[in-house]
Amino acid sequence: MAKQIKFTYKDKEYTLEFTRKTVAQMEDEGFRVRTIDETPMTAIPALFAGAFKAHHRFEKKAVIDEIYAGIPNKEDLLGKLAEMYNEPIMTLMDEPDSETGNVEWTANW
Amino acid sequence: MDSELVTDSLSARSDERGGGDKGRQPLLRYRKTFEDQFPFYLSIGMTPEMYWDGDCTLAKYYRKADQLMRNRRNEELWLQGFYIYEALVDSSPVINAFSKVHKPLPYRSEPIPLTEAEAKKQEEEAERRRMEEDKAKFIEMVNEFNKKFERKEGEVNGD
Repeated sequence: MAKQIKFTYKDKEYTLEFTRKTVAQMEDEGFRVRTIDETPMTAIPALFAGAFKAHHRFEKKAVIDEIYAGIPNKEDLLGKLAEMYNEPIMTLMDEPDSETGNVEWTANW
Repeated sequence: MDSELVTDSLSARSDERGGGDKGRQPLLRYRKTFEDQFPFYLSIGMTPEMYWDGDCTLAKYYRKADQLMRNRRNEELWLQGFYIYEALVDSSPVINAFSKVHKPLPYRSEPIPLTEAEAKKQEEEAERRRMEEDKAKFIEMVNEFNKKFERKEGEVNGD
């Protein structure tokens, strides 16, 4: 099952998800992952809006902006959205063989 | 190629290029990867709708299913080879001009059991057949004996 974010806003249930098509569409519209670092103020809302394309493609931009403005914990949201955005490409890659000597890694946060 | 260092990589070399893209990383388009991989996923049974619009994790499961199917196909081919080999061995008395026996061995009456349950079932069936044959032989023997006995009794009685 693909990663999804679900919530209810004004009695309407929303499911945020990225598919290969919506990721490709976002790229065609000019969205680039690396722009999150360069211009986060525009890139993050664009990423958030892009997550609506899979299940709520006809949702008005004003409503999406309203939802985004009211969302708490935006930093966590960004992390989750980035994971979701990468999932369509990550699932195309083979997992390394568990028996071969894989590199172990840790993060410091 | 293998001796290339991190300092020789594209992003590090971008300094040499000059112009306005100093420090820029090469552009990776996800769309290109999606399009490059698309024919492979079509070949293993995914529909375009599933690939582009469906649950993206499906690709992973289709890949695993494809691997299982390939393994199964490989086993089937191996089994087919085994049957052919066995048939050749069974018919070798006919093929081999120097063989003392010129009658081929009969081809196996049942397929090779693939599961333990199948093997058990085949064994039980063979046992049942053996018992039926023994029973038939016994009945035949008894009938033969009765006939002989009746004949002898007739001779004694003078019929």
